[in-house]
Amino acid sequence: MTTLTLRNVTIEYTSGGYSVRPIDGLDLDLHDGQLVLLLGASGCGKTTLLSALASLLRPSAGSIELDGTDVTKLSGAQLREHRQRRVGVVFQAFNLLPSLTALENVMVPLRSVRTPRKAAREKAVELLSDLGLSERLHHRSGDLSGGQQQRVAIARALALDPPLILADEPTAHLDFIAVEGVLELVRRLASPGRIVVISTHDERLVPLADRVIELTPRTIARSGPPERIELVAGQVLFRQGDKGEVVYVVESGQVEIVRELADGGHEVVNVVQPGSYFGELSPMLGTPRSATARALADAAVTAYSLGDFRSSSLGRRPPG
Amino acid sequence: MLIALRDLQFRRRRFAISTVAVGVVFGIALLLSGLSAAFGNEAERVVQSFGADGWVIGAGTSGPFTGSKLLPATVEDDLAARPGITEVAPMLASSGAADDVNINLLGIEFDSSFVPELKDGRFPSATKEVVVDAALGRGIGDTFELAGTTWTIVGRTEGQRYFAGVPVVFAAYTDVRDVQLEGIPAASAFLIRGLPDAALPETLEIMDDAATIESLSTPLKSAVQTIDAVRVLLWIVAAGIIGSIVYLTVLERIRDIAVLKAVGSSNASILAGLLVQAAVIALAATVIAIVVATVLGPGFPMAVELPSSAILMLPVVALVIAALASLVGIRRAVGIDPALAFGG
Repeated sequence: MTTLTLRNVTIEYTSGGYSVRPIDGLDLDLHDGQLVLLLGASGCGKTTLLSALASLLRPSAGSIELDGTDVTKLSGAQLREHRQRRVGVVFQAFNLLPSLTALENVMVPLRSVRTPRKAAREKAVELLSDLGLSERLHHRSGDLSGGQQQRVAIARALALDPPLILADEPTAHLDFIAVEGVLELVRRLASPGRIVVISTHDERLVPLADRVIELTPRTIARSGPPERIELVAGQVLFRQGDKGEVVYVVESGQVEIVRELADGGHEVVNVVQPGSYFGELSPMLGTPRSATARALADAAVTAYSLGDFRSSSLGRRPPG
Repeated sequence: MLIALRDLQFRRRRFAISTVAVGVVFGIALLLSGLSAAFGNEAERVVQSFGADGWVIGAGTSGPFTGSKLLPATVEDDLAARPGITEVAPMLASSGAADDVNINLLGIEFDSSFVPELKDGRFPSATKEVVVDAALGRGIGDTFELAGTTWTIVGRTEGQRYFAGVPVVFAAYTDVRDVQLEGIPAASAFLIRGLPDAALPETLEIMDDAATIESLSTPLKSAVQTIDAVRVLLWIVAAGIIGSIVYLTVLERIRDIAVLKAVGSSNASILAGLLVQAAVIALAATVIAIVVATVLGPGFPMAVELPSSAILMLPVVALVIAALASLVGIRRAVGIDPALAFGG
């Protein structure tokens, strides 16, 4: 029985000098035989989370337990052994080694754990034949179609029969005919003794999944009348990384938009004057706030729901 | 290992071009080794061909072939009278041009035992007859002009050259003395058989073969040092080519290497693969180098004597260079984040 448990997983990294936290305090319990979808728009942290599940990226905080072993604590040879034997990854662009044939690509993980050449070859032939590639064993990736490359990548991920299979955007580079075959295959992979986690923004996969985890939470449109908020100088209205549900319009005073940098410093992005608005992108795109807003002097702002904001004349003007 | 070799195969055109380039560089380095070795070998051959037990020269003179101080002919009688010495013969070293070809002219006594081995022909029996080295490119019976006199070739030697391949012309001591010293009875050195029981006067000095070879090689020391310096530069160029190709391969294979790490391949196995590629280039280049040196060597105007030790050492040196040159690429490969395997 395979189990995968995530507790308070936070992943933070630096990008372009800014501190980014795509995964913040995530808890998950995934069970044997499940096909799990990580669904979300580009940049929401799907691939980052997948990298952490593959033990290629250590979370900033929290634990990831596969069958009771906290993989975030592994290092050196143990970590390598874990990557070799416990996790199989199907990469987005297939990432087959172009110099190797389909057969040799599947043999790579087997040979890396010192499986004898003959046994590795037999296992690779068996896997590729199961996936309908017995006629393509000796073709290099450049001579295979997208669907065939995807199947070779799946065979490589399955080579050591790992309990956790991860697939990054498995339908991204495929035509609709190939997608059908891969979806059927992916569904088949989620069998007893194994958990399959797929990151995707392709909602066609949703009906196949046992569980869907939306990494971009759908914000419930805030209803109700606009709300006036009084701020004293220095008071923070929202912080970088918070969820954004409303758009603010400055009535009086000034509001400073500040980006927090990775080195602990701050960068002033804008100072919003009375009559101008800010914070509209986060509720529109469903992404976290990309900066912190705080009153530069005593100020008053009005919070509008996205619907009210769009229907107002302000929504048709550029931001402050 | 398989991945490294398959990658070589996959990028064979680029690796072939690099291998040829490295091979040519190695080949030129090998030719320079041959030149350098020839300088040492020629001095050894000339000195040892006389088979003397000692070379008597004026005290403070640099050597029999290189000194400017001549000894009076009377020294011969003085030496011959000393117990321990059984034979003495004069040698007069000079230089000139035989029909515009530079030569080293040695005046020796052909009826002594201090004579070089002949390749063909005979020793001179009459005045103005000479034995020349085959490197002069003349045959027996040919004549040439030297110091306003016509000389006739009656015999030839093989490998008798010094001062960077300049062939030796052996003439009778008296002929050389008459032409070069206008008959003044003097010699550059006296070759002796046996060694004197008592010390020689302070005005004389005995050199053995080793010291004589050393003195004959001294004028070429800076040339040899220059050749060695150029050779080192060539090794560096070869290292640069190998290093560049390995580094470029790593840059092109960043995603591949990230994938290999992601599926659990160890750093050691990835690095071993890069080293194998560098080693294959280096070893294939040594084969090309030996062919290049063997084919081009005989066409060189100066003698090139490829030492077997240099040929044997070449693969070893090449492997060391390849390993060192790969370090930059290897360092880059070590730093590749396996998480790069994700992403489109």
